[in-house]
Amino acid sequence: MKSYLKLVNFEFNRFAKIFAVLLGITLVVQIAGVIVLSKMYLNMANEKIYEELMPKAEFLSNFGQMSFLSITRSVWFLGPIALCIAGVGFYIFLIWYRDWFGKNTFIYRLLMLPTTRLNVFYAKITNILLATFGFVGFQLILIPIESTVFRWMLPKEFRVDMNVKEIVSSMPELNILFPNSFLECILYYGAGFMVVSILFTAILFERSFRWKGIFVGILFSLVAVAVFMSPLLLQEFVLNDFFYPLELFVLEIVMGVIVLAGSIGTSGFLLKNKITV
Amino acid sequence: MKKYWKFTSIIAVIVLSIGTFYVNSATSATQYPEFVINKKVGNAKEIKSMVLEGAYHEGNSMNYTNNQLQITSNGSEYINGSSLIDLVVGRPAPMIQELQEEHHNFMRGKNHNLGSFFENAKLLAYADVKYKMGTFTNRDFKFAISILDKDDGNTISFSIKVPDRSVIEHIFVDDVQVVDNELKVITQNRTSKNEKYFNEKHIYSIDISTGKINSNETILSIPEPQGNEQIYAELIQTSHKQGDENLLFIKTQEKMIQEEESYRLEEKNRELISYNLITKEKETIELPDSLKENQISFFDGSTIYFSKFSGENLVVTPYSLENDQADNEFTIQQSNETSNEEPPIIIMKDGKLYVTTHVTNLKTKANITVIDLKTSDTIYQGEVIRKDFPKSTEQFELYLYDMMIK
Repeated sequence: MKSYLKLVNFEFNRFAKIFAVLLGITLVVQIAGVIVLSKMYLNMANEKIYEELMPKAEFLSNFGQMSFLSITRSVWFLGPIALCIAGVGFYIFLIWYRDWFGKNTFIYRLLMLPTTRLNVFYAKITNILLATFGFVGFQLILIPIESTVFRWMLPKEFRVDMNVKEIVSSMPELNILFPNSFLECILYYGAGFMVVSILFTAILFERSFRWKGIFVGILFSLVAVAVFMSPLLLQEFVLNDFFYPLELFVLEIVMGVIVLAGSIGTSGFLLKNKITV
Repeated sequence: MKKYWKFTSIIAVIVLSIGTFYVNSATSATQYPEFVINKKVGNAKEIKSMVLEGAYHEGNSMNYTNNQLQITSNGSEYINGSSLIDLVVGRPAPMIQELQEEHHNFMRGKNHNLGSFFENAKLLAYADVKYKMGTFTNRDFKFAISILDKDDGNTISFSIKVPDRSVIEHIFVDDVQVVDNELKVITQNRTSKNEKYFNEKHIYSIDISTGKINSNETILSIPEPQGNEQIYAELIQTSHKQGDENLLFIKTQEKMIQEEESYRLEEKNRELISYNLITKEKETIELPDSLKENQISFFDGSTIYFSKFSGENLVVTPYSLENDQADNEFTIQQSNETSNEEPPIIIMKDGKLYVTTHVTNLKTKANITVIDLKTSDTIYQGEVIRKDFPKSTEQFELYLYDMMIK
């Protein structure tokens, strides 16, 4: 346990720089977005009211008040989120390959540590999870700050105030990142965890058998997906809707756990016996 | 500890921010207004068994919410349908839910179409049509029949080819009835003969003990009209918990009329056709002129209830199939001018007529009326109102779409 935590901390420190840069970009771009977009709205209001002499009430009924939603639907807000998602996706691969291709083949030392080699796998996957939660948590802190800035920028009669919960639930595209309930949280992030572990196993296949390993890795991923989907496929094509939806749902969770266990088991085997440096 | 600071601080940030978010969202769950049934005349006991289902929505375009709720004499209760488990389970009709609880294994693999089921004291019957999906056409239409004997708990299941299936393009089960050991499957078929399309109503009689099709009757066959006309036939559904002797079909002819930027449908002709499942007689009902414009609101197997708004009044006219004539009409006064043309929800149960209009908002209130059919007296009148008094600017609407009498 202690060596696992040490490894997690060690991996995190290696990721900290990229992580901090991504957080910084998010902070700067999103707050700039709030300022730019509300300035644009204010300029338009000024133009209509003071230059075209449109009464304020008419302006509000024609153009509406500005809500925080027009910010969250803009590139200013969604761009950094997409960047962070891409960053995590990229780092899933980088977290392994940097140990082979970075300065002085680091994986050699990692594998020589006097602890079970699976701890390396656990530490890396924990870091991916930590990074994801880190971005989500940071975004949740950032939203209230941004709405404060938004309130500074616009007079009360021109804006609609929303709380964090309303803002988050008005973005259905991001519902997977900010689930509505604890159960959904476990399921979505659990599914993500499963996918990452399958990818890790595929990477380890490649690291063990090189070119041939790529095919084995792809084959392994396909089999994992097929096993995971098997209850759905059976229900649709063989069993004629035999299962009630709730039974199918539980079966899917069980299949997910089986696939996750299979993938971790395979990775452990590869790390112990087949990995090449 | 110093070398762990990054790691510990990120853990702290994650736990605090995500924790606060969920704690806040749990405590600040949006409160929707309560609705109650406000009695005006009569005995509140009359609506004890009534359940109204509706959707509440706030008109503010920024904060659009659409929430389903049930209203009884005890008040309103929102149906929480947004959690993941609710989405997975879905919300089948109450009758399907009851059947699933009572006959858990029988109901496996059955669709949720109420018309596919027939239940009486002895048996529960189910009929559906299965087919193979093709690229251009669907093929191999087969009836899938399951009958559960309630006495010994045995299920018979079989499938039979649909007769004359080569001309069928699509087929849908409207209703299932059991008469004298014969299963009657009433279907809507779309057929094509020599490049011409027909919409048809069929009754297939299937012998329960042998599993063979005894007869295939075509009740209606309507050629698909050309141009801007539309003709369609509907089976008027009755309660699925009773056997029916009489089936009632409406054949409506509509004409599309082009207006400036849209189309409007104008009813040109309406024909009511009744079919007796025992005598197998088909009859076109000649309606008196006074009823021709009225909406058909409810059919209980022997009496049709027509309704019509006129000014502040709602006129309900029962029409008996047996005597082929209209009975005395009931005039129900509404508490407000009814501008909406939509016919009210009408249910007849145990000699009482329950009538409910659809909308409660700032201007109108949904009216509930109960009439004793024997004495023709109004024994209850009330309206659905919001419990808290809404701020005058706040647009809201409660739309009632269903009523059940338990």
